[in-house]
Amino acid sequence: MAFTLITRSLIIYLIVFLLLRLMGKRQIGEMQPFELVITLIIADLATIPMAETALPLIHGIIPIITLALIHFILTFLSMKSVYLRKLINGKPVIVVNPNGIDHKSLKRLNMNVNDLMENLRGCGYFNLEEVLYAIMQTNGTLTVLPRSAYAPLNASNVGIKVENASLPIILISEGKVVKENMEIAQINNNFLVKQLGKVSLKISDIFFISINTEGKMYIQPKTGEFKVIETNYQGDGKW
Amino acid sequence: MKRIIIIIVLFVTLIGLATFEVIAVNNLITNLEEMATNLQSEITDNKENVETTLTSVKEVKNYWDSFEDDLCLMFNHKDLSTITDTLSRLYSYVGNNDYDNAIAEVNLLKEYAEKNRHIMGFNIQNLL
Repeated sequence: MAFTLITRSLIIYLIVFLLLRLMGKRQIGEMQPFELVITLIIADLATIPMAETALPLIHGIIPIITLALIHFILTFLSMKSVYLRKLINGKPVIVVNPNGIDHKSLKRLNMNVNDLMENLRGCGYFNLEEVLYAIMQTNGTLTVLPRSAYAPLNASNVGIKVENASLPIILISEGKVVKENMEIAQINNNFLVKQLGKVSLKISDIFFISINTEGKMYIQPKTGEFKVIETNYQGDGKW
Repeated sequence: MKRIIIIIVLFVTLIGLATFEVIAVNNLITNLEEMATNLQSEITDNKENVETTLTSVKEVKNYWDSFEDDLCLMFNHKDLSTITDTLSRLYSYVGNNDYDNAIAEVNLLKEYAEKNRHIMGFNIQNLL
């Protein structure tokens, strides 16, 4: 019996894992209501045939596949039609506008002012006067557009010229050279050894290295502080 | 495109499985019911010849045993063992010339077969 249970659990796990991977990578908090419902039911369905050996495994698998199918169809429909998207996912609701709290919208969302304030605080706004718009998204998260006076400053506001941001690529991770990334970045071992030589380190001493398109290399040795060095590397950032 | 292919594959798999199940279960249960009806008349009409009746019961039992493993993929195993137990008792009653109980077991067999046809079927009672 134990072997049967182990095997059945493995099969169910693999099927649910595969289907959830196919269903996408969204976190629970980011799911649309229909996605959350399907995920919860699948989780519940999976446990029944796992432990009840008198039930054919297929009695658990068929409903799971059916639910995954429904998920794919609803996702497909919501991608193809704006009208169906609104019907399936709902639409974002403005809960705070320039005039203040829209209590009718709150009521429609089954939210109270405390819920709203909690969400606003989660977004970093503790006073309602700082908020120009707050929008409850279809996945249940609140997004906030602050009034200009309370918006965070950025470089363009104060006319400062800043370097372009660049995307780093990991060359050594947990002490292992990531060969795939080395090829993508067109960097060889000699280059790494040479750069590490500048800070008196060897590849075997390294825990983590990344390099960005501007040639700035972040080096984290296995022991000691991290170092950032400038190199002559110029990447195209196509990774 | 990938999503459409997944949808089509899943849909076809489900419909295929469901259709196969309906046809296979229906055929098997119909055959079992026919065999049980024949057995009933044989037990009633042929009380003197135990060996012939026992052979017929054995045939029904073999027929059932040959499908039981496959049916485990579709039926609740407890429902299957009820039919297997009934056939075993039937064999035993016929062997001991206990025809009244044998007839009762045949009737039970028919009842279980009908019940399973209903449970496995696509009908309003199962839907609601």
